[in-house]
Amino acid sequence: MPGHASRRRREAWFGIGLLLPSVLLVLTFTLFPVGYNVWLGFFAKHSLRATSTWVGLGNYAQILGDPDFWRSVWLATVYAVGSTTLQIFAGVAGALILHQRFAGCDFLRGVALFPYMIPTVIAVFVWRWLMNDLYGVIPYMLGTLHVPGVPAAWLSHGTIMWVLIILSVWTFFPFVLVNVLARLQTIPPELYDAARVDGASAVRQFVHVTLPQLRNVLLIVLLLRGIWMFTKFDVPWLLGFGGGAGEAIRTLPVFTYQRSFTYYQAGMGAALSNVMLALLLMAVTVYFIAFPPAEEENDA
Amino acid sequence: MDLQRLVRERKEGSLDRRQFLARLGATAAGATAASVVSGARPAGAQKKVTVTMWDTEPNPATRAAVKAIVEDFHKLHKDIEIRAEGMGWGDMDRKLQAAMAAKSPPAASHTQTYVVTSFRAKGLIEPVDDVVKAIGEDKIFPSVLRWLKYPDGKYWGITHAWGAEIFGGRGDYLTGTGVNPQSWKTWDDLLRDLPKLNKPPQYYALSLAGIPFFVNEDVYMWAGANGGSVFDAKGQPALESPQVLGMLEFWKKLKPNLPPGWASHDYLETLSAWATGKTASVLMWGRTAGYIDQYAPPDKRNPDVFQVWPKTTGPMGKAPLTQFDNEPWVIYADAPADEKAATREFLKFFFKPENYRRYCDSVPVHILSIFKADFQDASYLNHPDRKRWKPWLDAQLKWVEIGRAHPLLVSNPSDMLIPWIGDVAASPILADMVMAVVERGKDPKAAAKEASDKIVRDIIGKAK
Repeated sequence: MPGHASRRRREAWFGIGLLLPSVLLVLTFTLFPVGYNVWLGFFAKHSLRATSTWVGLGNYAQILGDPDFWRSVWLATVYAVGSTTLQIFAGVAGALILHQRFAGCDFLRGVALFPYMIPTVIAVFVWRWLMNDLYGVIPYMLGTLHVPGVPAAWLSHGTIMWVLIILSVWTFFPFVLVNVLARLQTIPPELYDAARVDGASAVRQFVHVTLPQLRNVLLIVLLLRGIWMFTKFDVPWLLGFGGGAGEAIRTLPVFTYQRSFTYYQAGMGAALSNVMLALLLMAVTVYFIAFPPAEEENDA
Repeated sequence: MDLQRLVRERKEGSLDRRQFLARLGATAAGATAASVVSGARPAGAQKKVTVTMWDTEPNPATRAAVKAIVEDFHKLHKDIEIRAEGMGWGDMDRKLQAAMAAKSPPAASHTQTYVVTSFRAKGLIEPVDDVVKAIGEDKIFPSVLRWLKYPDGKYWGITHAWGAEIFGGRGDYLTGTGVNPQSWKTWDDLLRDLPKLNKPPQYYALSLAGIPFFVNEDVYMWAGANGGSVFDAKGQPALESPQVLGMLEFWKKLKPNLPPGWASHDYLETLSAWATGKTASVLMWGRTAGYIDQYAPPDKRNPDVFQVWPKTTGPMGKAPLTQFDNEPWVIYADAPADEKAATREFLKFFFKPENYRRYCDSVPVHILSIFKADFQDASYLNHPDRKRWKPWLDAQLKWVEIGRAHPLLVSNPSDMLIPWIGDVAASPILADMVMAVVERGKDPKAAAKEASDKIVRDIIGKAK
């Protein structure tokens, strides 16, 4: 049936034609930049000059032997682990509260999203002002209340990482809250009824009913927030500007940025971002081995 | 075939769907081509040159002044369109990097003096001798011109305006302390009296910025005031020299007199802290007058309260050193030739006295005129702000006259020729060295060696 074959061929070409724009977009905006970045990592290239020199694995050899690189990896890990853990605690706690019905709970659900909605630059600068040692409201209040053990300056080498973590938890915990709250609202109430009939206390209901039901959501949130916090650039940069006290929060993304745009080493910066990608891929692999995707719970 | 006819034929059934779509496409393409042809410039018509210029004066008053100058220029040069855009230094750096990497820079921009050396070494900019000569070489302060004239005898930039850093102190905080800052000559004098001006938590004796760019400023100024430099005669780092190590020891001794969070303070925070009375002294520029008018109590907005105090000399130095804000216009080599020519025309127009005065008056105590005669001209000096802050103006002028105002990272004049000086200034290496010593208690020798090694490995080594 030559007519039938010809029509099928035309349809195939038509289908390819429809796919082509998407393929081109992915190639242009995803694969090409990633490929170019990998390629650039093999060159010594000054950011201001169009010329470059092939150095093979030279950039990677220097990175692995550089104590500043390993320090930035450590700081990024501390930041990612600390802020993600606290975001999950705060998000779950907030979601459990907002899951209850009480006067004003709808209003509070809206307000809880506020930190996540405001631009990062605003959030960071507001926190810089709040924590400023000369005129910040928080140091002033703590000083007035004579709280013992309060540092003389929060935005200093010893404590700026804490400020960064607390600020990030405040800004990003609503993401956890919204996801957990959405899942809480779909847990069948019969599960709680059954638990209560069995005499389970509120704590045991949480441990044996709520947490297992939240498992998949929490694992996804943990993965996403962990990746996002490890690669987070804007918050540590705006809080510390990469130097001064900000030296103590020079995480891997900030270190990478500085190599590219303050040392003008575009090739080294590209190599560092490739290393960052490799570190994340390793972490994600470990994550999936530790937490294999579970079968979807039977909600019915 | 027009659209209506196509639609009619399709409705009548004389065209099937494919034929209709094909002819619709052909009609649209034809119409586009016709519009392009009809819109094309007639042969012989004069081409309008559009010039992009980036400057670092984004404040509204200066924008208004620049806009007025550009509009006047357009009246005389209808074939040239100047697009003048103001932005902060940080934005300028990023935009320039992206534009230059793409070999598509603006025609001209402001930059730092030391960057001229780097750009010149990389072949990124062109000389501006014709502009300097048109303005009048002999009319400009020699100490303004000297930093942009290189051993090849050419000017590689033209300063848009200048300013010198001064040491500001609160006169009202001296009462009852027995401190007379005007008697200060040496670092020891300063270190002896600063504790008397330190009354935490009400206020601290000295405000310094901890952000790398501003730490760099203090590093080279104090190294220079201690008779040293960040670089040796061959351009290699001289951070392990006694003069630089002395500077680090000096910084350690200053620390008890600084706000506890100084390492996170931005430059503007130091100015507002001084204006609001949180610190007794600060390293500052004429622009600070604006902060005083904004934040200080009305009865204190004068140079009797916000005084100029002398800068001091280190034990190994002969004279103090201050920072010279001598930011030039540079013209980029990669810009099209017609745009570069138009830029030169605009700069000559910009520096005509009647235009340039409008620019300088937009920030009267900070954007200071490059013309010597202006400082003898009553109409310039009698501007209300310049009159009110005359001691500040005089102090800046004195620095220029004695030749001890040097651009960023230039402790010795020969440092200007070091091709990687701009790269060192942009990196956080020097600031890390200071923080290691002052904030983390590292031995100055070890911190200086680590910083030297980084400069050699990461900057000089990469420049080869």
